[in-house]
Formats: sequence, structure tokens, C-alpha cells
Amino acid sequence: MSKHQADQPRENVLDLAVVVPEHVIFRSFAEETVALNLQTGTFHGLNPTAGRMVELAARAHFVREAVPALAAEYGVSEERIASDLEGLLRSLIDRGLVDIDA
Amino acid sequence: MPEPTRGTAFGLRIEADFDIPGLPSGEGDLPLAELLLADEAQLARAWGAAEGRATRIREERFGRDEVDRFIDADPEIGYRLFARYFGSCLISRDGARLLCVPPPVASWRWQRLLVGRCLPLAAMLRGYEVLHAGAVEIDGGVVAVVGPSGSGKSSLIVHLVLQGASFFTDDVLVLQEREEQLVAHPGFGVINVRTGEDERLAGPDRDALGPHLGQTGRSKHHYGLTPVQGERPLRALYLLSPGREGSATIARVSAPDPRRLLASAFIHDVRPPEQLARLLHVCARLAASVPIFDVALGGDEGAAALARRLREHVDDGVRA
Repeated sequence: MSKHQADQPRENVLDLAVVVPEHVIFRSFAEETVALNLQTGTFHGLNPTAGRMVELAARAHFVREAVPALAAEYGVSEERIASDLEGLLRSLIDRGLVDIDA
Repeated sequence: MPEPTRGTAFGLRIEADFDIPGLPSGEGDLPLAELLLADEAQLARAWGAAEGRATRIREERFGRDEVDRFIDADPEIGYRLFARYFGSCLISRDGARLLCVPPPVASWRWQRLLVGRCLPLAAMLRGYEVLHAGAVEIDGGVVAVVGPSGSGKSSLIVHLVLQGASFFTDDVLVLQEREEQLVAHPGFGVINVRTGEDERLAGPDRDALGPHLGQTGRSKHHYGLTPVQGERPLRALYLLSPGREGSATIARVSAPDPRRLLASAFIHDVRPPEQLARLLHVCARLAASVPIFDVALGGDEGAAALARRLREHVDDGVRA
């Protein structure tokens, strides 16, 4: 668990900024994004939607700013995207693939 | 002092103080791998500080209590490989120096460890990516065949060569990214043919494969076959997979499964983090820039017939 995870365990991640830590590499394939955690040597597979969510969330100042673009891109409600995005980022934070940017 | 043996293989400029049957001649602006013959005492001295500190990253036992093969890794000294009947080898951590301790057998026999494991690992440490693949050169580009052990890669390569393609490598394909393109480096001048396939070859075909170096147990024959010289662009990748009865089917893979590409990499367990990153990067480059095809093998089609169809497929559909 990263320092940030320990400090801020369950704050709504949508109101925070997230970053891809230096020990994690994302690479896009046609139908999958692969994340490599260099600390553990483990590869993780993300479907293309999850890969795109991480890409936009990591670019935003606050994760919530990525929601409208994702909702428009996938043609679903912002509420649904916000819920899915929060769940995804929480699970990636737990796996050390994404950090909360303090 | 005798002249060192010199040649190139796996993207390395090799200099050795012993004879290496099958080492392709040639020079080039390539990273050096210096190979030295040693005895157990010299290897133990060179390994020195790593004794008791190194990590055993792979160990294999073939139905006995004794260890038949192992790889130990030490962050300062490098890698120590052992294989029963094939000897030991110490590879420096940068892949530039290999100390070889052979058992008292013919050189082509113990050098199967050198060619099949040690030099590919050295190539990886020198900055290349290494796949488990055979390959031929057709019209200036490399056509690679990837598949699990025993799937028929080498048999396919043998028949592609007999039907006019140029031999590029058997079992170990070294890749390098250059200006957003993947180029391949030719392998070693030995091809391994399963005994069943060898028995099916006609005499002239067997002669065309080059000198018969020997046979390992009852399973494989080894022929000296000179590969082309110099790097070539990777033109296509064919992934062999188990199929059903009938003939093999060949289909374009529009969205390659990253796991399948990652799994085709050579020696997963010796990779430090930066090399895992490079592997992932090269696999992504492969998926994005090289035509990839799935070959679902048919139980009724021999390697010669499949090689003919694969050659036609390359000629018809894959441009260099």
C-alpha cells in the first residue's frame, strides 16, 4: 500500500487527482491495455474502456473532470461513468497501479 | 596463443577462445560477447561473492531428487546456469562475458546450452528482446513462427527452407526496435529437427540441411545450417496453436492478445524490471506494426504441406 493510500483510504477519489506511479507502465493494445507493475513484476490486463478511463483520469486535474468526456464517448450517463470510474480507480489504487496525487 | 573464434549471432559480436561449430562468420558494429572456456574452480572463483547471496530463480528436476537445471542470479555478478550433461555457464550481469564450463562431450552437444540458453540470455542483457520463435527470410523480410515447445516450429522452418526460403533462426529470435520499426537479428547456424520429421525427410532434403552434427538422445537431430547475415525488418509473425482434424487454418489476428505475445518471450524469470518494461514495449510495437496471423494446426497436414501454404500466404498477403 502506498503512502497516499494509507493517508487517504476512502475519500471519494473523484475529488482527487490520480497519477500513474513511476513503477507502473501502461501500454495499449487493440483490445486491451496492459499495466506492468515493475515493483512486483506483475502484468495486469484492463479492457479498453478501463484503459481509456485511466488515461483521461490521469490527465485531469481532478478525476471528476474526466467524467463528462467519458460519458459522451461511451454514450452513458455521467452518474454511471462516475460510479464505474470510482470503482475502477479504487481497485487500481489497491493494486498499486495508480496513486492519489497529494 | 591461438586466434580467437569470431562470428556474429543473436545480434552479438562473439569472440571465443574455443571452437564453436555453427557460429556464423561475420563482423559488425554489434555489442561484444566474450566467451571463455573455464573449469569449475575458475567458475567458482568468479562467482565468489555471489555464493550464498544469489537467488535461485529457476530450478528443474526431471523425476529425481537431484537438480537437473538451475539458474541463479546475483545483482552484482550476473547469472549462473547449470544443466546436467551440458555443463555450467556464468554470464556477467551486462551479458558481455561468459565463462563456459563444459562436460567432457563433443562441443556441439554441450554448446546446445550455450546456444539455446546462455547466448539468448546474454543478448537480452545486452539490450535486445528475445522471443521463442523460428524464422526464415523471404524477399528481404523476416517471417517468424511462434508456438509452444513441440508445436512444430522447427519442422515448419525446415520445410520453408527446403522450399526456398533462407534460414534465419531456429527457436530463438532476437528483436530490436529501431526508428519505430522492429528488426530481427539472425540466429545460430544450427537447426534442430525432431526425429519423426527427420525420418520423413528424403535423402536430398536431409543433405540440403547441411552437415549432420549429431543427435540428442532419440528426440532430435542437429544440422549445421548457415543463416543469412545481417539484420532484417520483421515482416510477419505466425502464431501456431492447436487445431482440429483436417488442414490448418491461417487467419489474420486483428487484435493480438497481449498475453500470447508476452508468453512468447524467452526466459521470463530472469528479467529485472527494466527488461519487463522493454518486453511490454516490444510486444505493443509488435501488435501495432507487424502483421500477425493465427495458424490453427490441422492434425492431417504435415509440415511440408503447411510450409507450402504458409509460403503462398506470405507471397500473396504479406508485403515486406
